[in-house]
Amino acid sequence: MQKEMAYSFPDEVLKHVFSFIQSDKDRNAVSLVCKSWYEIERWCRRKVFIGNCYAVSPRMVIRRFPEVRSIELKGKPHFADFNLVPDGWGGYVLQWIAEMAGAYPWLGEIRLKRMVVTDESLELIAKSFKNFKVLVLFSCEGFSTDGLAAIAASCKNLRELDLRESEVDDLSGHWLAQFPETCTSLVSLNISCLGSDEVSFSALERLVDRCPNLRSLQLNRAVTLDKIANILRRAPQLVDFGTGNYAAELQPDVFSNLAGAFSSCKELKSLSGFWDVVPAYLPALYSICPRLTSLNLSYATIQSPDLIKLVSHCPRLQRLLVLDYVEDSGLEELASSCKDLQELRVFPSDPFGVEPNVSLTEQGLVAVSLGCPKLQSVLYFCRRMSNAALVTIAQNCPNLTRFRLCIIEPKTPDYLTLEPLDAGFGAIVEHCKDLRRLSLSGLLTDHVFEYIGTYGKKLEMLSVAFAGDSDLGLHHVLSGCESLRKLEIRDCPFGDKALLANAAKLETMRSLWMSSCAVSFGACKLLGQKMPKLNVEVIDETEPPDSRPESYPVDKLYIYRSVAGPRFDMPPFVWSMDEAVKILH
Amino acid sequence: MGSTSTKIKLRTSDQKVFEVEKAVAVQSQTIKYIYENGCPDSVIHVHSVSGDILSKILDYCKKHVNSAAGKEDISPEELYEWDANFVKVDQNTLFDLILAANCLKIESLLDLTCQTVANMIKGKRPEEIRTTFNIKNDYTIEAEEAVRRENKWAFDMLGGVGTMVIEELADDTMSKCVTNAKSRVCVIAANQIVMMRSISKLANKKSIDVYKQPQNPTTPRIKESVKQINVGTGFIELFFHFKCKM
Repeated sequence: MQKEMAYSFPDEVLKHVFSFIQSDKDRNAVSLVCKSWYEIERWCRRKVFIGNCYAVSPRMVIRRFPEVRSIELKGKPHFADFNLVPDGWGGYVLQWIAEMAGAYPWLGEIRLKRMVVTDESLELIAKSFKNFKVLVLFSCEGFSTDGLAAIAASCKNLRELDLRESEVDDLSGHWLAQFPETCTSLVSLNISCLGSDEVSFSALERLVDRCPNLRSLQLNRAVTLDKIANILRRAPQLVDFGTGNYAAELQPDVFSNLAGAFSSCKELKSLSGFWDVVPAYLPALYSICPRLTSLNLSYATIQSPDLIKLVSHCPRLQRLLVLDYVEDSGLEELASSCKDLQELRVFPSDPFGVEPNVSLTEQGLVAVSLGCPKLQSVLYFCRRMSNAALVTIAQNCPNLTRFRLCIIEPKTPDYLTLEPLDAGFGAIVEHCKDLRRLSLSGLLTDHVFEYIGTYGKKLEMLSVAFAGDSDLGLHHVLSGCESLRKLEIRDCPFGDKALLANAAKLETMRSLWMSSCAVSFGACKLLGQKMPKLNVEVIDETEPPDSRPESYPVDKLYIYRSVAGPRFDMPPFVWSMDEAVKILH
Repeated sequence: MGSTSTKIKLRTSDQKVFEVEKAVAVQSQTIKYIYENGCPDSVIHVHSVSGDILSKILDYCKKHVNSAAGKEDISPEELYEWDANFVKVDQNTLFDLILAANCLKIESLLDLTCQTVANMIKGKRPEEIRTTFNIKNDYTIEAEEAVRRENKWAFDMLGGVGTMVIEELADDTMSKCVTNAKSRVCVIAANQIVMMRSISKLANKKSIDVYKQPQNPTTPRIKESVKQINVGTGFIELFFHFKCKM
């Protein structure tokens, strides 16, 4: 006869057991076992992840988890990266900071993605959390170097300051000098997004000097090549390094100094930066290339022959981000040299050009799929594709978890047969059984969505643009993709029927974005009425949607589930379909 | 007369008496306190522990004391395996061991047993956890639905195993490992980069053997050839801070 666990264990023992359970999924499961487990678990959860900052309110989070030390929040929808979300839409972090300042004096880590962070928020963080250690602002905006100065000056044990891809109002480089002489705790510093021409380099050097645990350092473009050696010699323990601009007149002493500095970094595994590259300086990296696992050359305008040489020195490469200057020839070299490759991202050097400027086609990706058996994650911009190539890629790489293909010109058919690319993407979802993220492009009919609905059982995120013929396409996805959490659609002929027929599905997803589609205002209102727990938000910058007939399609639509109800920080061009809000608006 | 030959008498809840070496008995902070503050010649009552359980616990303590003192020729790997076998017991026994380790304040054993129970919980749905531990669901349907909704809608992360890249080792995780430990062994999940420099720094140049945990949790752990850092006896699993890079 088994004992009843809940009654025989003292709380502190259960707490100790739970301290070995870290993942949110497991902790969530624990909270549902019984009421006493819920209570114990909520008092000892230290780390919270919130995928949509509007899905829950700060108050609710604080009420449930009173002892949080680490929080991660995401704000704007992903399509904000493509300028589809107007300025002022939302995603403000200030209220979160304000409420947490009172409730979580021991909060040590804040990680934000696509949120609006003001200097006031940063000053509040600096003032409120005595044990603050980690600030990551990924693709954020709204703050200036003044706010950073407040963080630098006040956070005595700061370990991590990472501003990757954020937009910072760069008022002056002197904020770096605000780190007190007593600050020696930095482990990670990423200032690659800063534009300022005058980063206080001497302050940076002194900072690097006194932080022996610095592992990860990403400089900004303003830092010149000749300064790199000085930095590296002060931080030979670096694991991850981002250069500034990598250009200078070729001088033997500068070169040998640089090469020597790089070779003294025995732990360096990851490189990035590389703006304005002078290829003659690339061999300075050769001594560390054999250890490199990650290389981000997405700003480097290096041409294929130089890229081939560089890549051929990096047999352990697992992750490569590169511009399409790499060309098919460069990718063929990658396929033969880098057998450990797991992730490849190829970005377009000239996305708005009409004619291709480089010789990068589907062949490059096919070569990599053949040569790199561990490939899991692909982001590939190109100008042509064929079903045959996609089928080959799918068969070569059944372990793909992320596949994002961006054929630059919308509705481009298979260049060999002029047919839609339905069969090719169908092969991808059929063979890659663990596929979690997919982005479609090219000429696509409703058939591709049928394949996706049938085979994409583990698909969590789908991005669609200029595809499909009718509501049936959307219906296939919403009714078939059991694991779907994020769906973002632009410029597709999807309308009311599929959306309303699958309204309940929307409560199982984090969010749905549709812009320039055929969803009517009337359908949005109906959806808002039918599904009160969804926030149905219409975005229209030109005129209020109810000034037009109800059958008129809305410009942009963002629907997300929320336990917090409708939000009240909407700008004038966002219209909530919630009855209560409409009266107030 | 060496202190290592001193014996302590322990009487269990079912009136069994055990005579053990002091060094073994004082692995229990509770016994240590009573011994140092009470009369060293009389018998110490361990009311809440039965003879069977105490016997097992003493085996554990003896093994760990001996291996730390070098009295037994056992490699860290072997000790680790011994510990893993030690907890392969029926559930009632495991729970009795936890309660006893808690009450007797034997930290490494408490960690070992709690970790074992945690492993029985991970990856399971709530219904499965209830079945495993024979716990009654005392939620009302509405209350359960509300919690489930809040968990999913507010606190849910996408994705299974993605391309995980270690950004850095969380210092407080590391210091938890070192301050708790008594570890000779630390186990890292697969695909994670170990920063040996930081381990040795925080461990103050003592030794830990580092093991990599394979993807499949049932296959045996593989020892990585890394610098040895001795810290003591026991077993602890290190948790690393990592972020999903999408």
